[in-house]
Amino acid sequence: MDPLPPLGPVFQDRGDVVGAAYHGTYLETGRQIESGGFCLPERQDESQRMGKGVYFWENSERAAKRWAKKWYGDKSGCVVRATIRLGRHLNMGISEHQEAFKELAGFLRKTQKTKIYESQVYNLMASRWIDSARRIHEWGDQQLLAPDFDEAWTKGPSDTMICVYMVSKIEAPCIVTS
Amino acid sequence: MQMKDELDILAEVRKYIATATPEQVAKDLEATGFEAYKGIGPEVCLDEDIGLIANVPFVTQQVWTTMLSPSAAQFKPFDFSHVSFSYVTCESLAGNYEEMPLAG
Repeated sequence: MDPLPPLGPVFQDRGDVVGAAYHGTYLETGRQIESGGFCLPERQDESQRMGKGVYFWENSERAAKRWAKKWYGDKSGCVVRATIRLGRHLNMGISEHQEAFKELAGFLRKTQKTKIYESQVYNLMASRWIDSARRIHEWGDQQLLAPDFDEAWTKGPSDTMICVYMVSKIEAPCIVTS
Repeated sequence: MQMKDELDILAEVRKYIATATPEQVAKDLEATGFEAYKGIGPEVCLDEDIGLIANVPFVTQQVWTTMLSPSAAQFKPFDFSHVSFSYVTCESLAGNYEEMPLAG
């Protein structure tokens, strides 16, 4: 008789490896990444919500294609696959990690007497505690069309986005779609 | 079992909150590119009583689910009819409405 599976919650292994992470970028940049590896972006844009890092879609080439098409167009975009060592990892799907983020954001807002943006909170965390972070991305167009939020939450498409703050944690990049 | 890279992030953050002075925090933020990253992503919107970071629709019409309340039953969606390119109206758990500038 086979043993019963373990009971209770499955905890995120924060030292885990994501074997298939997908990054959307310009084709030319993708070629440079293939030959020389990733580097942290010098410029910021509105897609960098989780701060200064390299962004991936976990196990979803399709999501990366969609992202590349949105930001880089049909012809000049590509998708790069890589392996990621998560290291010290902030998982926004875990309530304890959400609480940490929330408390830090509130603290910053109160002490600095200024607007605080999410990217700034992630950046501070990255400078002190974490190597990577993960959150669920809701594809907004579907949500906006849904008349009922609960329905959108349960049925709307979503993917997991990972931001890596230390490029040494990214391995074996190769272009898979161009 | 404690994993090699496992981190008690909540404890670390609370330790920082308990010990860092506003001046030190300002320096820490500056070191991370605080100024350069102003306006990237949604602004953190806190309900002072509950501590909720509200959801903020992005100007590109993507819905950024910033933070969910502990209970989905407590969560209330935005009224999207109030969304404009300059301001968004968000509803907190307390039922209060707050207008705030959009990021970017």
